[in-house]
Amino acid sequence: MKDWLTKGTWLGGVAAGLAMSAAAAEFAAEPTNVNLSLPPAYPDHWLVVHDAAFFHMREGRYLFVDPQADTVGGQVRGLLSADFIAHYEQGAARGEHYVIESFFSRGGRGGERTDVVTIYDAENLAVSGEIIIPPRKLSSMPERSATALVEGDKLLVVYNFTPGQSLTVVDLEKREFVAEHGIAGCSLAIPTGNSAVTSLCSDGAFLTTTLSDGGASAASVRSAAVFADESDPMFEKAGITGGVAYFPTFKGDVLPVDLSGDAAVPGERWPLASAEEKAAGWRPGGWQLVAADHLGHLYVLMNPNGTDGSHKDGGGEVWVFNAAAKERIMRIPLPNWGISVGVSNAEQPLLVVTNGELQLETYSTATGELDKTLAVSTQTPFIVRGVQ
Amino acid sequence: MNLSRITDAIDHWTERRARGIARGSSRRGWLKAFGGALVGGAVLPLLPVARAQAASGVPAATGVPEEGDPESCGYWRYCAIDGFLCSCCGGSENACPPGTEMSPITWIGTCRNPADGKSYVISYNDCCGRTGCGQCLCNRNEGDLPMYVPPKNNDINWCLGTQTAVYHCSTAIIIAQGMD
Repeated sequence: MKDWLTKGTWLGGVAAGLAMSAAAAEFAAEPTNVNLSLPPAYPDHWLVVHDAAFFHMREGRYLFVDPQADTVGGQVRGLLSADFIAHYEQGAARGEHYVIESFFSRGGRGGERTDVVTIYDAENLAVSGEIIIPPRKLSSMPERSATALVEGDKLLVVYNFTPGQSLTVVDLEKREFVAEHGIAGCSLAIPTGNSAVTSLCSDGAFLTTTLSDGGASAASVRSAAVFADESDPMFEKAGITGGVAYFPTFKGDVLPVDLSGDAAVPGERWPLASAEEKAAGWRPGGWQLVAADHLGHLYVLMNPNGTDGSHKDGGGEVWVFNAAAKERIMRIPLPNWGISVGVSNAEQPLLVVTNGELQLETYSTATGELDKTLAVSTQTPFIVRGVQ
Repeated sequence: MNLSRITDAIDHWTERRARGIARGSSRRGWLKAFGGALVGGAVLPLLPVARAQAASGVPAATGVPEEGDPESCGYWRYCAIDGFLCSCCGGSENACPPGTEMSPITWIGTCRNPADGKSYVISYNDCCGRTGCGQCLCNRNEGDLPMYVPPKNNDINWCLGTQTAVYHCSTAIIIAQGMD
């Protein structure tokens, strides 16, 4: 026993210890090293918000957001890192998220580029694996159709632009790169049928690339040139519902393309706006200017003052269409302008608008009424979609 | 919209966002927030040639009269640009900032020069190899086509053929006379 520990102090220590024991009966320290998890199946009203962080491109993120909550703490359920304006897919059946991103060995000044498919566990959002892919993925403003899942989410297809154009195929079950297939003159990759993707070609044709042999082989079919009219270009963005992709045009038509079969089958254009409305200046516009829900409804941002060059300006209303019937069923005025639209996969879908201040607003798709401005803070939330 | 104005706009936007009180926005809000000046550019007074030349550090293309402010999104050469203006980043409208590398591959636009009423083909070469400049973000889309027409699309990161794909800012270089 050391000199400083006298009998008196020892007794005092015992007394203090007894007092602490009594208190301990009423107190339990909180455990450390606790992480929350998300449910195995996400509520169908949740959203995935891509904050591309354009001013800080290496700090992008995908946020899982509950729009029914009222506080930022209730709305943000978790997030994934997304380096240098990444792409994203959700593998719901496998309980995984995929972020297709680029890393540079010397950060902001470059260095060696490594493109990676980062695999996240959907429940604990831990990185459960990564797959190195050729460092050629499209680097651009956020594009929903830069990647695609096919063959029941077994294969991931990544669009490359160097400016050579190709598709990288990744086997997500084996977690390995499979092959790269050229698609010269064509861009992007939209899921088609069971095992194909459709790209948009500069000559106005659709190119469908069908994968076989686990993605190692590819065969392509090209449609007629149906969107070659540069006087009214077709946006590369589409709302997809019922196996049909609906591509708005700059001047207010929409081109339906059936993607449910082995190859893209373009349909007939029909007008989103009447001749009078077009003459008055109504045109589609925005970044992600179109969305579609599982009820077969198409949502298009419309600019009342459209002109040549206004196609990314956004719009003052969202027009809602019954896509199959080619009928407008609602006009939703936006009090704060709109840049992008998205919809949830809830039974009654929720419309989400990235407004003119780059905030997220939610609207009832039943009534068109503004529900709320979300409390979650993001920089440049250009793409919002529902979880699966 | 000059450097201080856009910086103020972004600061203002950030401040409002941080305080969670942003309301009553509009298309103009979008333009303010993300740097476009489709409207503002049209109403901003055009500055004399001397201003453009002085700001650039690099002489304008031989024989092409100039007017306007290269730090403004409304400057005539920027009719199809999308990115941070190199004129606000230590470079100029036709030269990259120190330490960066100009991409040899790019997209082009055709813009009308208010000084002579003629059209010119503009090459929007990106400057690469430093983190994003973050100043004077400008998005205009005259003649811009969707991504499936890459040579006329400004959404692509054109830091291609460079040592790194890290994007810094965009220039607007006159490379030919247009077909007037």
